[in-house]
Amino acid sequence: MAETTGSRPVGTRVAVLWCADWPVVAAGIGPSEPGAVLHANRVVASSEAARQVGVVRGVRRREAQARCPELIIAERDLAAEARSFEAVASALETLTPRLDIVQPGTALFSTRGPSRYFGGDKALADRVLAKVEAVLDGRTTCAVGIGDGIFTARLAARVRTPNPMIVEPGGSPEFLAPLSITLLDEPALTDVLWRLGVRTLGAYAGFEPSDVLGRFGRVGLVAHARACGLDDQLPDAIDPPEDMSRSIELDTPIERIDQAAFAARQLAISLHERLSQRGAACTRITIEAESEHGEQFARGWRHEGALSVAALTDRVRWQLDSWLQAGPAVRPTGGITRLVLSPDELIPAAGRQLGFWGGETEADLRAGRAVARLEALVGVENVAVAEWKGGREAADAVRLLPAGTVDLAGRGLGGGDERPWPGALPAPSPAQLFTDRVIEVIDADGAPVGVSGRGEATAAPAWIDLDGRRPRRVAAWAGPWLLEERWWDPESTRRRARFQVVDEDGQALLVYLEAGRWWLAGTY
Amino acid sequence: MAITAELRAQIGEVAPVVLAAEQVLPVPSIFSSVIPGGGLQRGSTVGVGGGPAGRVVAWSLLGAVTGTGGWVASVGMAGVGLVAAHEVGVAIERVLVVDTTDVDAETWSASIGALIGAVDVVMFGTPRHRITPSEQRRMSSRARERGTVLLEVPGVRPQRQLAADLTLDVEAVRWDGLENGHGVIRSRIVDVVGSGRRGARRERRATLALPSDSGALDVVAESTPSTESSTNHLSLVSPT
Repeated sequence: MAETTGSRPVGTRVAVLWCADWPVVAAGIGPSEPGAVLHANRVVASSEAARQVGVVRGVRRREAQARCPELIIAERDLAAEARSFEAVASALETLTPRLDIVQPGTALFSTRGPSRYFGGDKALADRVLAKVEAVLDGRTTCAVGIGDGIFTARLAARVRTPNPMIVEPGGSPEFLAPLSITLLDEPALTDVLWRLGVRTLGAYAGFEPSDVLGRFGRVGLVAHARACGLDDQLPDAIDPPEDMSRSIELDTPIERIDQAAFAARQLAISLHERLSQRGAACTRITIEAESEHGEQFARGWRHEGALSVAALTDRVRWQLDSWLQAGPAVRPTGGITRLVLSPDELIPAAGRQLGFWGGETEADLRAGRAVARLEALVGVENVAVAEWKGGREAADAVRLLPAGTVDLAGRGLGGGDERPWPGALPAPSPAQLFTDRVIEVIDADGAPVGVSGRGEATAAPAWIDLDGRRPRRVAAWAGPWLLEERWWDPESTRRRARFQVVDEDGQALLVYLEAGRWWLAGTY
Repeated sequence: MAITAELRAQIGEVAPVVLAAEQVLPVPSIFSSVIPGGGLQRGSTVGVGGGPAGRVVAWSLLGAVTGTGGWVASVGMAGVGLVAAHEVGVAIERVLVVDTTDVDAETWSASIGALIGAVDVVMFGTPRHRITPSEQRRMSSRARERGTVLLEVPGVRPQRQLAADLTLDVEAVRWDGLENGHGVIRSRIVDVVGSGRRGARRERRATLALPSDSGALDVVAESTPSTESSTNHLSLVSPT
């Protein structure tokens, strides 16, 4: 293998700092508390205490709660993760001028300068650990790995013992050889390799690159280079020409995050268009900002694949948010007046292959472009896509998300979670929903209908008055179906008795009694 | 009369072949008796009326589109019950929900314009402002050109504004399962009347369950259109 791949350089020395369970830390859950962070009803990160009782990545919410009833649950908030990581990043910046954040919780930098300055990799790593542990203050553990190339260094950080783990120059192949093939993080590829009996990185590195290319294509070849401990910077990455960066001057200085989001998106779209004109995509960007008092901030973000518009926007938004909400030592003293996005590493854009089945299709692309135009027309918050949330009431079961924040590719084609919610009324559901519509439901004697403590209607509803003008006779009714939710939370607790009513015009209504008043929930 | 028929036959022979399926958005088979041609003609304008139940009729037309990778936009339909849409087969993740409550007429038109060509069906609630005849023509012709179906349902104003190629109206709704003091609504039964210009001139009726008590969409009864009028010719059909 050495002869055949000898033409490619080994990677530059890189240090990776990895903070364990960052989403959990950002959610404010302590290391000894059982806590989990969820996204789309599944656990994406959990604390050590929660993992010990089986709350691991991928478990559903209810199952997690069953395994650990005292589990503290938080919804994933990427912006908050980025914001709380800013303190760690600022601490690291005192050691190295050029820092890349891969994702909140993981940062990397080239060690060439800092190592020489501080007297070797070991001395540097110890300093990094000391600095970061001081910032973390026991909230989580962190680890440092140093090695040739990003891949080796990341794995070195994840090994955690010894900490810091330093892979000597040229020592990557020996270090990587015994590790599991699944660490390549290419599920489609490693799944095949695993079934073929190739279970370690060393076994995969043993193949001829030409055979790998023939059988697994480009993805396989990049993975092979990684497994061999070679430079995993993509071979065709180039430094961009000067004019690729995009900047925006803001007439009104940005001080709030919602303004920042809008500028971020504009800038990301403009950079992406510029790149795609050149047939390029970028894997690393530097975000620079200048405040109205002339302070300058810069931070790099790196991504494994090419950064899409949505990914670019998110990173710019997180970074601005971090700066604007950082501690007084870091925070700009005035609003941000200038923003620059410079792509640092360009790769040829392979184009986005339109999916044959699944994946992104032409239809998704068109819808995505329409979303961008609509956002400019009617406002970001008024263009939404629906997402299943689950709930006992029709208004709760679906949540609307701003379409600009969601990846539209292949949405909704996988089939949703079809399991019923106990306590929800069976189908059909109301076709039109109402909020805060007070109505009157009256019995035959003209008195308001109530619900007893035993959950029974005090009288049969005879009249229903929707608008205070014309009471309508009730033709058929049923109920009450009682609903009591979140009694432990005074903010969102809800206690209502629901009725279905068909009036004399044949209109079916869902109404409920809550806090002594009748409300219209929806019409069927 | 004879000349027109002859001309029509000749046009049929020289017209380029267009695969019908490419020009038609599929709709659930229960609508076969009210919608001629088995689907919504791409680029056509469809009007659906009749209160909340009418909206359900409109949604149930869209199940096949969203299920096969298409996109649907719902514009200016505040408080739309997406769970109800899901129950009649719509993949609600593929619906763009655009809120136009506070926008002016110009922005509204621009929004519809941005969606035409980008999604397969633009479903919109009749806006508060009057859509001028020239704007209507512009919308329809653009939709025809780009192959997007415009689907109008009563919104802020109950009276639809666009001249539709196909209209579906709800004549009556019945509710199955609810009694006096007990039961629960199990099924929404809707009498639908389809009519239109061009190929869909005749009125066609069907009674549909949206959904039925088993959760599926079902035909309860359909009336085949009676002979249109005495002046029309009987046409020869093959014995199969």
